[in-house]
Amino acid sequence: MNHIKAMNTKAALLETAAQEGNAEEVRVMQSSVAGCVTTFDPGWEVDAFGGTAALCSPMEADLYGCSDPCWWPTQVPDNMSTYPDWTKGAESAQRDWRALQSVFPKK
Amino acid sequence: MSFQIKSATRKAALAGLIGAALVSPVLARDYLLTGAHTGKIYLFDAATRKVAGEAQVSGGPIFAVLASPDGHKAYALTDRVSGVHGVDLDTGREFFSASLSSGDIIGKGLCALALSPDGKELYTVAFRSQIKGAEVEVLDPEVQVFDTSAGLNAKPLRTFPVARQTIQLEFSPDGSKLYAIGATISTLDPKSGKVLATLPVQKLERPNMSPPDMLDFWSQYNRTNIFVSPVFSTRTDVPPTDPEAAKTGMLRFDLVTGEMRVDEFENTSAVLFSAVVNPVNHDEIFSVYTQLSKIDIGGKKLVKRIDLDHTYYAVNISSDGKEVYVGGAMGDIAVYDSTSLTKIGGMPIPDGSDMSVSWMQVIQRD
Repeated sequence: MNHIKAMNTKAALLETAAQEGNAEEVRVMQSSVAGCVTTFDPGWEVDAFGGTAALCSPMEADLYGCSDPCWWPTQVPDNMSTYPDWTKGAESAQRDWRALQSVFPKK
Repeated sequence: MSFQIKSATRKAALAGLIGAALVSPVLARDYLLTGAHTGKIYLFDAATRKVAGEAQVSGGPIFAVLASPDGHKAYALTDRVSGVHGVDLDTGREFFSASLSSGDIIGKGLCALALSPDGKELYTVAFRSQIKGAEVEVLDPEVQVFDTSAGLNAKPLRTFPVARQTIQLEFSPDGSKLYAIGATISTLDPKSGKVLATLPVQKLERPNMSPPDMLDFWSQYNRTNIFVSPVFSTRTDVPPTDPEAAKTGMLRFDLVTGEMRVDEFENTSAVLFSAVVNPVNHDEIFSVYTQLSKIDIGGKKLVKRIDLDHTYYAVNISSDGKEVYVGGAMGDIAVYDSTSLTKIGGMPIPDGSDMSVSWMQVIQRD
């Protein structure tokens, strides 16, 4: 951290948390998810064993399990807050995936 | 499970049971309560594998869902995890609703939902943030307590602070204790919110072992009053490349006694999402993900593991311990024989909707 300088308020808060010894609050799958961007566990690209065999199968099985609770907001649109209607009319991911569209940040 | 009744009442009870058996061949019938991505709550009759009730809840996908003590009402966390709703499973009528937000304070619940054993109070955790112009301030999370008879647009009866990272709320069967489970397991007085005891989970110290890593989204412990969750730890006395380094275990927390224990049973070889204890053999645990695992936790060994048709998140078990149900993720519940792990049935969600992260509880009805 000696060579990294916080550039905004949030980064400064993170830096303070680390200095106060609270970095341990961030853990891999600890049942602690409460909103977006707090989840960093691997899953869509690589499984816990460094391969792909232990990813959810098929991937559609896990699609809404990730979008509904905003589990991986980088990989899957966030159904919780930002794109609440992303899955509207497509209630089965395996059957209706063709109806799912790409999403773009609102300007 | 066992129970005792004194001899005088035993005869009367047995007479009643025989009488009831003559009227109805099935006693203590099991039902499965779950939700779908459409916002519908479904009640399946486990014996017939048919839908026995359904209700539409406003607000999108169902997250947590649980039943009233008589099994005729259901409460669900929905509204993009920012609201709770209560519906009558017999009529479909919505009789209760509440928002976890207030004014410019946004409350999100994720999946902590518990009902007092008398069915009168509903408890949930609100992770709160306040919108302040161009910034958002994260506030302390709180338990919000609602009167289940308060109707629509109910306001909290009371609130009290709860630990960050609390993901589950569970009651002791007598209703005297509320457990907040997450990075710690805190025992709370449900009336005052006073913290009576705290057990470490994230910072659990054991010789030569890292703290356990736990995911717990699905509450499915009402048949046994034993909270159980897969946990993953690393041995610190062997190199990380050693096959013995990564260990899978089960964290069990007794909702009656408040005792917790963690037991490893295998070198980590599969991902496990959730688990349930067999109500007739507390040493037997079933755990699910893309495989269904049967674990002898008393002997600390994996008994059997089979591949499932697809990934499931939730697992539950019949009251007699004979049938294991796997659900969540996609749009069906599959039924497996608990002894052989042979698939013996299924219950598809009628419109094919995904169950996503919805809970799947086994309940009984008066």
